Amino acid sequence: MNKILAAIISMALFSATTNAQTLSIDAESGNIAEDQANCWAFGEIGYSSKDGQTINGKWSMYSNTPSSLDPSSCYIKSPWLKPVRGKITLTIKFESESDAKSRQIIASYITYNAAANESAEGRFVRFDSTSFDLPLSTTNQEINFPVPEEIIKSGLPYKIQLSFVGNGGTSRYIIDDISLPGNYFSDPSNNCLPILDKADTDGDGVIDSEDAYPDDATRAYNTLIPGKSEGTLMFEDYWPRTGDYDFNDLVLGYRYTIVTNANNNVVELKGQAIIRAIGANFENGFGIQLDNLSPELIKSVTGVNTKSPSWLKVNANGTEAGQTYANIIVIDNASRIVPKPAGNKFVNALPGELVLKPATINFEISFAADKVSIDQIAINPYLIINQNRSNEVHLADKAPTDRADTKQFGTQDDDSKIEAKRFYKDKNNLPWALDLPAFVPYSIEAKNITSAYLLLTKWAASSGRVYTDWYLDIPGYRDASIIFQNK
Amino acid sequence: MKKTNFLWLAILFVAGCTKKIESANVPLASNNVPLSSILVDRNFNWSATKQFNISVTGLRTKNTIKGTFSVIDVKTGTTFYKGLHTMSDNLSLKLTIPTATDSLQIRFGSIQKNYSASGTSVQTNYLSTLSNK
Repeated sequence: MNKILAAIISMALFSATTNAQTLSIDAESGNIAEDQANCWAFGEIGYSSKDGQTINGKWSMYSNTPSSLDPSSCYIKSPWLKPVRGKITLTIKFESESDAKSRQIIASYITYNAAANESAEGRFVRFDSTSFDLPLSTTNQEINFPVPEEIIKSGLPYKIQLSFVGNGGTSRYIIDDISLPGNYFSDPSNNCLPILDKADTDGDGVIDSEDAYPDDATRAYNTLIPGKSEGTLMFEDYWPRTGDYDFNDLVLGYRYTIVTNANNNVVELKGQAIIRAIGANFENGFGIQLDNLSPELIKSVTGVNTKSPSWLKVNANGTEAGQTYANIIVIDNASRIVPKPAGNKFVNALPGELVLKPATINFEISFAADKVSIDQIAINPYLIINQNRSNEVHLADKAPTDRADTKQFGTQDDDSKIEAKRFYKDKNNLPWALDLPAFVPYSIEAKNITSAYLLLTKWAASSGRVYTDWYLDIPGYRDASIIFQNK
Repeated sequence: MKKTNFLWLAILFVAGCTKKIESANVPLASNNVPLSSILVDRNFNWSATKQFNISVTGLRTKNTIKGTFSVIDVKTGTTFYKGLHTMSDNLSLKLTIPTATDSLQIRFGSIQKNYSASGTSVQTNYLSTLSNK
């Protein structure tokens, strides 16, 4: 009963059959590593294109000098294959007649046993051999071995190993055009184990164990930006004048999840904006531009926190009107969403004041089907200063949107130059915004960020070459007395 | 007199330049250097992330092998990319990764390869990852 059950399971496990074909190897790739990656294995065998070491084409295989009759001493082993009836064939010749004592080719098969070892190789069964007359012949010889009936009948995968053995003398085997009747059945992407039918419930081509949405054929993967942790955006809002460089006028946590399908196209972008601090008196908004993406590529936008301010006009799909690229206004007024409590001068910026819980805005951007690939997503976040839609603050060298008043470029302390694609840097090359790919704390009100982050200056002065991790919580990197404590 | 004044101006100018250049070498844990006092290269973009390009040469395979190709930060485990790819196809990816990332791991099924992320690109393939079996 157990044997019958095992046979049924085996048949189901290896149900992926194809038309009978032949598996062959002729070394013409010229790169043994490529055939190894395709699950062929070699013991003391190399590829050669030298005169006298080839049979057909430019390349052939050759053995080292045989010095043993052990089948494992020199061999070519096939990938897993589902054997069919026929003959294993190959062409060989010897390098020289030499003074060999013996030369023999041994044909063996290896059974599949999932529990046996990492490579699932079970029994090694020698089923045929051929010996060569002495002195050795240096002309081509056609060799063949019938495929054993027992491995055809089993329906299971096998490997075929041809061993090139012998002793005495120096003459090596030259080998070419090995042909094995059977269907290739190894998976080069899975340790060369036999191809298994893996569950793919939604049939999208992404197996369940790798599919973030195993029951949804329209979705497959999540890519998190900036990663497992939320990122941190820090803004100064006094543009085009420089401020106090505390970078806490608006502090936003953020996290984006880009959902892609099995075609690697973007289905939706799930965004999270977390208002952590407002160290400002201005009523600032926040938006993102998807650089180089037309608004028509967006199907819908939901979840943003806006209350129809007079400056905001949106298209039917939820993107901002009047823009060449898709813009999503996520927050029209952070101070409306997290108003400062009575007695507070700011929100989560001054020690001793009432600390508020951060407010999270979850929004979602759906994309037109199969129009946008993941590498087309370039998120350009920006602050809208004090309900003046024309005044934006972007990260250094990030382009303004069409709604920005570029006439203010180059005024006051700003040193933006459109023709040079230089944006939002002052005359000392300092920015008005920072984007850090981690959850990090921020300076208390009016304290220069360099007092809180002790290696920021070194990082900036080196153009980002040293202390690339200056914002992380590493001993010696921060002055905790300058950092706002959420307590 | 005019020559003397010019000389003094020249000395002051040189001294001023020297101070600015020295300010790039801010000592470790210098917590009294305001941002506005440091000399920053004009082209520095203040980004804590960078673009990193990965190109993979496909492997000619007997059957079509499709699987999930992913790129992971070795230290943090953050996945920078996940997508379905055919092993025989060449692949070219433009990723945005933190500049603080030390090393990346690419994965395709059982194939795993680690690379330094100190540069801006990696060229790789599926070869040389398998021992003889």
